[in-house]
Amino acid sequence: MAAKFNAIVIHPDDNVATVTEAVPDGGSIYAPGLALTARGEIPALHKVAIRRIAQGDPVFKYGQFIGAASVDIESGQWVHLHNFQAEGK
Amino acid sequence: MEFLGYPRADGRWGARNHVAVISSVVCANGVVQAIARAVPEVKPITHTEGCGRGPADLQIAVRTLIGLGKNPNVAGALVVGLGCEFTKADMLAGAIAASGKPVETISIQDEGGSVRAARRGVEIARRLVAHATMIERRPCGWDALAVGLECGGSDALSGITANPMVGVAADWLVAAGGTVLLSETTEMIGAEALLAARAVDPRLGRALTDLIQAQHQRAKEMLGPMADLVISPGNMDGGLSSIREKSLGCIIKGGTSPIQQLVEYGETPSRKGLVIMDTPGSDIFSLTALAAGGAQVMIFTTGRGTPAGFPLAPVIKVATNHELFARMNDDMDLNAGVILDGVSIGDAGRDLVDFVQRVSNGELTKAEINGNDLLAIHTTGPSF
Repeated sequence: MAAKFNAIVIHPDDNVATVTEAVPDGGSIYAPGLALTARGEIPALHKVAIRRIAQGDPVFKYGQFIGAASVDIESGQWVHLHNFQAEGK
Repeated sequence: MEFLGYPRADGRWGARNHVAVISSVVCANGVVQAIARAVPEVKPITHTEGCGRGPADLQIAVRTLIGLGKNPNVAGALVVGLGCEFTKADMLAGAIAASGKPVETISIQDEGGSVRAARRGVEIARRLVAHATMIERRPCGWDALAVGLECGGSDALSGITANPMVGVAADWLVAAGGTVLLSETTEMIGAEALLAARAVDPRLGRALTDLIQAQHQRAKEMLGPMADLVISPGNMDGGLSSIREKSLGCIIKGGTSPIQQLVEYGETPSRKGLVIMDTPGSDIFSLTALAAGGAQVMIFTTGRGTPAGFPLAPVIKVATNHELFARMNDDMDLNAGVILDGVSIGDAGRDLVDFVQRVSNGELTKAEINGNDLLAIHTTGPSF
C-alpha cells in the first residue's frame, strides 16, 4: 500500500467517508480506491464528503439516507450538523 | 468448509454438546452448583428468577429457561427445582423434552433437602454426560446454524469497523439459508423507518416501527432528560450527526437481508433468515435471550472490551480497534482494527465467516477458554 489509509467508506453508494484520524486543512485523505484533499479541518471519526453534494441532495452512509445537505458541500469538506440536516435526530 | 453439527432428535444441529443443569428457580442454585462441582463436564444454568415476580416476568423466565434447554447445543438437561416455586421443574422439563432430548428433574423439597438432592442430581448428571459423549458430529448444512448478534462496550469505531464486518458474515449466513438474530431494540431507535422498509410484509414493518417507538418512549419515561444521553453518548462530538446514524452503525451487524420476523425476548423464531429479537441493550440479558431463541453461536463486537461469554454457546468477540485487541487479547478473538489499515470490510468479514465456521465445528472462543459463563434473565418489573 502506497499511503497510509486514514478513511473508511462503508458502502459503495456512500457519498461520505469517515476519517480515522484528525485531518488538517489541505491534508490527504486515503481509503482503498479513494484519494482526496481536505478542504478545511476534519475532526477524527467525523464524516468527509467524497464527492460534491449540492444543497438539498441526500447524504448517504451505510448506503442509507442519513440527511440532506443544507448548503452546497464540496468534495473534501467536513460533513456535520453545520452543513446538513440530519434525518431522525 | 461444511458444518459438522451434533444431530438432535428435533432435526436441529448443535455446535456444542453440553449437558445443562438448570435451576428452575433461584432457590435451587446451590444444588445446581454442587452438582456442577462434582460433575465438571456439565454447564450449570443459575439465575435469579422463577418466583416472586409479576405474570409478565414469570412468562419471560419460563420462555427463556425452556428455550435454553431446547437450544441445539444442549444434548440433555437436568432441571432442579425447589418444589413450591412458580416455574415448576416438571413443567419446564416437559416443554424441553418435546425436543426429544433426554430431560430429568429433581425437587429439593421432595428429595429431602439439598444434600440428598445434589447426590441424586450427580447420578443423573453422570448418566446424561455418558449419553452426550455417544453423540458424534456429522455433516449438515449451514442452514442449520443460527447466529445471535450483540454489541457492548461500544466505541466510535464500532459502527465503522466491527459492526460492518459482522454484517458481511450475517449476509453470508442468510444466503446460506441460516438464521441471524439481531437484538437490542434500544439500539434501533431512529432507524425504525429503514428497518420497516426491509420487512417482508407491511404488518411486520408496522410491528417493528411500533416496537422501536415504544422502546424510545420507555427510555424517555425511565431516564427523563438522560434518555438522549444514554441513547447517544457523546455521539455528536464523536462525529455522528443523529440517532439514526448511530443506530445504522448498530443494525449494520445484521447485514442487508430482508427482515423475516420479529420475536419476543427468548422466543425461538419460526422463520429462517434475518430475524429481529426484542431485547434490552444490556449485554448479558441480550446474550441469554439470543441463546434461548436457539442461537448456537454468538458474535459480540466491542470497542472498550468485555470478557462476556455464555455457558451454552460460544461467543466470538470482535474488537473494533488494534489497541483493545492488544490490551485485552486474552478476551478478544478477532480484530476489526485491520479495516483501519486498509483491509476491506468484505475481506475482514470473510475472515469472520471462516472463524464462525471453525467455531461452529468446535474451535474454542476466548470466552470459552476462560470459562466466562455469564447469564441473566430480563425482567420488566420489581420482585415482590
